[in-house]
Amino acid sequence: MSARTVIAVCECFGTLGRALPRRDLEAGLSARLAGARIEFFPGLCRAGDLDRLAGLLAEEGAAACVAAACSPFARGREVLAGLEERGCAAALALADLREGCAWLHAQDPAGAVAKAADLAAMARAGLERRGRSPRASLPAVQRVLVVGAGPAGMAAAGTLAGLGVPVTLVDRQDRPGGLLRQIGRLFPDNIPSQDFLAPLEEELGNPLVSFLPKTTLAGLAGDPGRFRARLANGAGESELEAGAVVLACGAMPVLPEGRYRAKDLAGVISQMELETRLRRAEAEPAGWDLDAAVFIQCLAARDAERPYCSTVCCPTALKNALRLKALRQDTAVSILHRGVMAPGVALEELYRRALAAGVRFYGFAPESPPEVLGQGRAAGVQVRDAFSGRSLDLPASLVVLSTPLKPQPALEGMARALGLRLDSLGFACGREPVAPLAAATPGIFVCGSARWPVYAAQAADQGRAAGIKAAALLASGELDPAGLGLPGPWPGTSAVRSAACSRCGQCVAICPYNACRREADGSIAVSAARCRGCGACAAVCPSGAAAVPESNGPSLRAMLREAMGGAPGVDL
Amino acid sequence: MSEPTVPAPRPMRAVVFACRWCALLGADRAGRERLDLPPFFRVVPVECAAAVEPDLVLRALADGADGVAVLGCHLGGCRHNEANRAAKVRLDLLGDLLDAVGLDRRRLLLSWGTAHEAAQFAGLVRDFAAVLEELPAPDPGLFPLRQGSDASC
Repeated sequence: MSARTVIAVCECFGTLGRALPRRDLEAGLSARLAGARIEFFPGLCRAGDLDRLAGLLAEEGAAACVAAACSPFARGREVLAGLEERGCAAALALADLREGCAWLHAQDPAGAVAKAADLAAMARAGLERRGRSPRASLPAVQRVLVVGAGPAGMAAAGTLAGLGVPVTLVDRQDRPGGLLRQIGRLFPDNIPSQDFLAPLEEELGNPLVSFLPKTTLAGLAGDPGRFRARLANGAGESELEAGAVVLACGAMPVLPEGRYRAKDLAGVISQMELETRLRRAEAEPAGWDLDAAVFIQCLAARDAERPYCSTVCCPTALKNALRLKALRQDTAVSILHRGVMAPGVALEELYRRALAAGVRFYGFAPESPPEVLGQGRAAGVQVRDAFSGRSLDLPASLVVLSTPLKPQPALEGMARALGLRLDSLGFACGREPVAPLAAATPGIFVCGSARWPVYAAQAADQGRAAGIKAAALLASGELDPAGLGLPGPWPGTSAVRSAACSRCGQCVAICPYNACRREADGSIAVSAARCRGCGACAAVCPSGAAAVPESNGPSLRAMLREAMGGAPGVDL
Repeated sequence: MSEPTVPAPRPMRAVVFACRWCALLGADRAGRERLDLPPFFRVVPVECAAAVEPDLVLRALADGADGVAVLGCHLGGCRHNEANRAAKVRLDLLGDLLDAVGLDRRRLLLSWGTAHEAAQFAGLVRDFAAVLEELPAPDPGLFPLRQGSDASC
């Protein structure tokens, strides 16, 4: 070896304690690391010591330097970063002699010294064999595709356009608004949906937004920064290049489908149907006549099939009960519930308003659900009040069934195309809890009720957040592969050596990021924009062709040998 | 005189592959808390437990490790999009293989999400030491090449 490796030992101002006394440590390292130059420093986190080490490396022309210091979570990363800042050309690695050795093995100094020597030798051996991933910037198309134009998608598109990013907004319907188009008023303030949508629509007037009606996402190819989306409308398919994609396809209401005799009795309707009737009645209240209405909550929710609370149905029932009361004050309105879910100040206030307006609340147990009475049309509801244990007969000419929101049927296919995971209930997952709106694939975001049922205002908030994330990603016009992934040091990007590759496709199957891909000619390529350097491909490659250069097979192998005291190893 | 077939007793050794998102933090905190551990193990940080190929475990054992630990995040909490689930399947299978060839599967310690904290990491390491202490030395015949050449991999 022409250029020597330097082992820079940080004494950490004497805190290595009695486990690693300097004289023993020096002897141990010298015996174990033949050929290396071993230098001691009082504290490598000090600028003065770093300057001295950087000078020494330059003077020595060292190819590699092991900082035998503390844990990467203590000051270890700082030491390496400090050397890089000083223009150090040598390859750098850290050996954790403090948290990883001296502080753990104070009772066994001889064992600790042997381990310290092994750790330094492991770091050196790994360093000498590892490679470096190329860190070329990747081009980023300045356009974001937003799928779904409900409140979340509208807010995402408006936010992006406001930040100067061109947006293509697509929706199945012929105009933006989503589910809110079927809802007359919004809780908790009972404002008309149109008043909520109007400012969002105004934002969509930005010339940077192009809205494509009656269009769906049929597929997605390409990589972060340069996705190629297939968009389908009645006329056929077209392709759109986008740097990022925001999925805001929302959710859809479950239909009662005959439960509570909804099919054979007139007057048993879904909450969505009530929305339609209320909108009509509020526009023309003259013909409205209703003596008694009963809401039944938690239909097809919080049961074995859908074991979740949809969160929007209770506030919706409160809001609509108040609307019924506003239309005719003497309408008797009862809400049969399994616990009224009205969290937060505004919804608690809504609940109290409903109480004050005379809306009656009766709890029921899931094992004794209410029974709808009547012949031909609804006449009443019989329910066992869970609080008093009494059986009640409530007259009702209108029975309203509150159903939850469920994932869009199209979500599954789109999520697969986008590399989004679905939870056990079929909603899309981000990277909870650290990046809840971001998919594992950089440049893919999800917001609104596609993730989980949310209120209109929450959907819009999430849309804005997703829009800001997408804009930030594309802001510089290019993507830095090291900046796309998880926080902390960049582990590098996998590469497949085609000369060694047998094209078996194991890496393609295992890659958690869809980064390993089979090209048209059968060879395997790794997308630097998708790869996060986890090394799963290297672990399954039977040919040693796939590897993350920073932690390649030879370097890990050599580290293992040194971990065993440096004895000549065995090749199986 | 031929070489003795049973190597001279030597200190126990183990390799710990520690995911840098969980077990490496546990190891770091164990040091900060000055938990006293026997110095028989060497930590190899990895980006994800999924990066540990079974071959590496076998090589470590062939090199003379008494045991190998792979410590990853809890299943469902992998930083790399569930990559550790496949790793668990793969390494469980390797355990079967170790049993089948007469190397006890207890030489391979797998832990998912139980090494984040200092005390957890220390507990795993101490228990592993006790297990390895009790296992009989592996049949040297399993490693006919142990004294052999050092071809590059």
